[in-house]
Amino acid sequence: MQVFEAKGSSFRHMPRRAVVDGCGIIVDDMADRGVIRDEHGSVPAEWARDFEAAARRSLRQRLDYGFVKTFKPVLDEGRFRSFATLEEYRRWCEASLPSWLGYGRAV
Amino acid sequence: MRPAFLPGLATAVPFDYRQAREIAEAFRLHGARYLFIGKSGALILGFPDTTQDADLFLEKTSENGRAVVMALGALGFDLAPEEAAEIGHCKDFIQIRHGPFDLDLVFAPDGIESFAEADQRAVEVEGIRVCNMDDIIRSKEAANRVKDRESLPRLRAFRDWLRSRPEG
Repeated sequence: MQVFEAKGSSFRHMPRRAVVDGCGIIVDDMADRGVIRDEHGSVPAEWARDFEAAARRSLRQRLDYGFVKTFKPVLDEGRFRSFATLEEYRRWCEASLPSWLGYGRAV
Repeated sequence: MRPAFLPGLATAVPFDYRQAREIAEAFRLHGARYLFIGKSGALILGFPDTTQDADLFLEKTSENGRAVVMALGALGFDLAPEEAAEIGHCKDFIQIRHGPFDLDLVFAPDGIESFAEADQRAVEVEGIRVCNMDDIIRSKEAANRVKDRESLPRLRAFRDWLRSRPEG
């Protein structure tokens, strides 16, 4: 786990610090609790504006524009798959899908 | 107008509002117990983001498995007998990619103890039953895939924002 500190941000309340796991994935970009998240769970201002804008949209608008479809190799090539356990499915994802799809636990 | 998908790149068009309402209605009519979960559930709760597929958390009982098969038939899913049997037997995770839209069925999601408990905490939006944000986050934390780790900071912030609202 590594912690990166940004010199500054174009948004006054945006994250200045991020925790990145061994795969280079940001696992907590609000890790600098003193700046970004206090004990009341404050939210970065830019994200709060996003959430407020979304709340003004109807459910129809949110769903019609929130779902996208791009072809995912292997995953979208079968008609029907079933797995006796979720762990079996996770193992299949790790073994069968390109890692860049993000379905594995490591890139 | 919504963008059309290029031929050959996928077998289905994106999931949409009408289909979410149709799921709610068909599952209600057939007595099938379900909750939207994952990022599709978060979108219904107002989370501004994009996702690809609809994920349904289903009660793991043989009675519910049979009801789900009936509801999917009503929605236009042409299930082969062996596919219907696997849903009826409530296999933990099922992907359907040959129906009117892509659907993932989860009878035992990571991080959630029981359907009954999640159902008690669930939210209903325009007749559509959805896991609450804490359960959606818990299941992504437990799954711990790369794509889950990418989305969790913003999902947690959205939950905190929901709680900070007067109606939250």
